[in-house]
Amino acid sequence: MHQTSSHFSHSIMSTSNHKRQRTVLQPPCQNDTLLLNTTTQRSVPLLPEELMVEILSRLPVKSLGQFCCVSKHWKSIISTSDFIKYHLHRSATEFLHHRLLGSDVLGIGLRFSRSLRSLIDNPSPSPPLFDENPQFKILYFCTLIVGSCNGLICWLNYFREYEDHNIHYLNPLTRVESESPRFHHRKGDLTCFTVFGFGYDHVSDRYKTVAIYCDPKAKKTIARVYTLGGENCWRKIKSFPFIPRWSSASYTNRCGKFVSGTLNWLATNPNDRGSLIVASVDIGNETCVEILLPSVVKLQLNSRPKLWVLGGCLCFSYNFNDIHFDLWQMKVHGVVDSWTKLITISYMDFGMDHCFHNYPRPFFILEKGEILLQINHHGAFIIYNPRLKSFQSLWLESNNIIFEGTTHIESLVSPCPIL
Amino acid sequence: MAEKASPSSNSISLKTVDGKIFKVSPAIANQMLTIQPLIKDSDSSTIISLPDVAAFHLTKIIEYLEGKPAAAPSAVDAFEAQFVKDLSPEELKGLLIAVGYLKVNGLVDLMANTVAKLIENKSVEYVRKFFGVVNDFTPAEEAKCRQEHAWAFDGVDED
Repeated sequence: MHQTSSHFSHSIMSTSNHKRQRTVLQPPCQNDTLLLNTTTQRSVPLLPEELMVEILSRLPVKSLGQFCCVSKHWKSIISTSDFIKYHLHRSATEFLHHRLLGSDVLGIGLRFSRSLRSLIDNPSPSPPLFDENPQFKILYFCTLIVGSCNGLICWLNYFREYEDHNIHYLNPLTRVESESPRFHHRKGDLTCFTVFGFGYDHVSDRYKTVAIYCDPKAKKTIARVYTLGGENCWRKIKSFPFIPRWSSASYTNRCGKFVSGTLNWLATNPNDRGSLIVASVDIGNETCVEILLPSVVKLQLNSRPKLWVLGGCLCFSYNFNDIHFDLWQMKVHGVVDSWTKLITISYMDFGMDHCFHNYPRPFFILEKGEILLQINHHGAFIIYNPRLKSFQSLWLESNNIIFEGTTHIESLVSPCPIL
Repeated sequence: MAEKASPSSNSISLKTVDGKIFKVSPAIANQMLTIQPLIKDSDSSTIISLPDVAAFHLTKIIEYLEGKPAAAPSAVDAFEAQFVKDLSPEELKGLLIAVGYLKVNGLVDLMANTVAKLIENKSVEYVRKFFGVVNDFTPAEEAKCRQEHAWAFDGVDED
C-alpha cells in the first residue's frame, strides 16, 4: 500500500445522515468502510514522514548516528541538509541542549559540561560537571579556541612561531574534522595582536573564519577570510581600517563575536582619535563597518570593555570604577539606538569589593530573561534576574577544568562540506 | 463521556474509526487544524468522519484540549507529564499518529517529545520493530553503515 504524508491531509471526509456531504477531498467513495484504508489496517501503523522528522529532530546526535542504520530511508532523511538544519535549529532554541565549554588546565584537552538545564537543576559535582563520555573529551594541545558555532568548534594551531598558524575544525559528536591552509605573516608590534573569528553565512550556506593582523611593513591592518569547503586559501578582505583591541589578560576576547551573519571585535578607529568602537565584518559580502558603543558610556583606564553574545544579540560590558558592572545589549544588530542596558550589578551585592579583570562573564540568557554569569575562576556563578534585581548563587566547581567563555550545541553539521 | 451530547446546540460531531460519535464544542474542534475548514460548513446534523482516529485517541485528545487551559500556567508542565505518564509505547505511537493527523495545537510537540525520549536510548532493532520499519540494508551494507557511524555506537551495548 502506498502511503505518503500528503495522503493524511486528503483523506478526511464529512458525512451527514440525510445527504452525503463531501466537503473534502479524495475520490468519491460510497461507503464509510472505504475510509479505513489507512493505518488502522496495519498491525504496525506507519508514521508519516513529517511526524518522523518531528521525532528525529528532537533526538541527540548520538542517537541519530545509530538510527542512520535503521533503514536506507532513515539514513537518507537524517543525512539531508534540510534535516540537519532543522535539527540544529531545534537544539539551538532549546536551552536544554546547550553545554558550557571548558578546557583542561594542563592544556591538553577540551571538555563539555553537562547540559545547562542539568547544571542549573543539579549543580553538585555528581555526576561530574564535565561530561565523562568519550566524545566530550577532546584531546589537543590547547592554544586558542577561535569559536563555537552550530555544533562546530575551531581552534588555532601554531607552527614554530606565533605568526605561522592554521585553524582546526571539529564536530566533536561526529568526530569529523578538517583544517584550514596555513598562513603566516610578519610579527606586528605589541599594540596589535592577531585576532580571529568563526561564523556561518546563511546566504552561501558556508562557514567562514576571519583572521586580522597587522602588517608592520605596510603599516596597516589586514583581514583575511577562509571559507570551509571553498577555495583553499585565505582571501584578503578589501579593507579593514581599524585596529583590534583586546586586553592581554583575556584570551577569548581575541575571538570575534558572531551575531546575525557578522563577526564583531572591539577596535579603535585610527581616523577618529582612536576612540573605541565595534568593528563588524559581514561574513556574507566580506565588508566591514564600524558600530558605535552606547553613547552614555564613558570609558576609563580600568573599564575593561568586552563583547559578548547573549540571546542572539551583541552585548557590551564594562567595569565602572571597580564598583559595578554594566551590561548592554544591542537589540537590533547595527542599530546604535537599540543599545539597551540589561543589568547593572554592584560587586558589593554578591559580597565582593571588586572583581578580577575577566569577571563577571555573562554566559547565557535563560528562558525567563535571567542571565547566567560567572563571577570568579573558582566556578562561582550567579543567575541574575534583571526584572527583580535579585540573584541566586550557583557553585560549579570542577577540578582542573576552566570554563571557556562560550557554549556548544549538538549538531550533525560537518566541517567537511561536500563540494 | 463519548456519547454524551454537548449542551451547546452548535456542537460538532466527530466519528472515530471504531464507530463512536463524540460531540465537542467548536472551541475544542477548532484546535484540530485538519478539521477546521469543515467546521464552518457543518450543521448539527453533520458528522465528521475521522478515519485515522480511534475512540481511545480522541478521548485523550479532548482530555488534553479541555485540561490544559484549566491548568494554572505553572502547572502546565505537571499536567503534560501526567497526561503521557501511563501511556504504553504502543498507545503513545497511536496517539502521536492521531494527533499528527488531526494537527492538534500543542499536542504534536508534546507527543513528539515523549516518543523521542522513549526511543532516545533504544537499539536500532527496537526502533525498527517499534515503527514497523523494514530493514532494507543487506548485511554488508548495514555493517558498512555501522562502521561509518562507529562514533555513535561507542559505549552502546549490542543486544
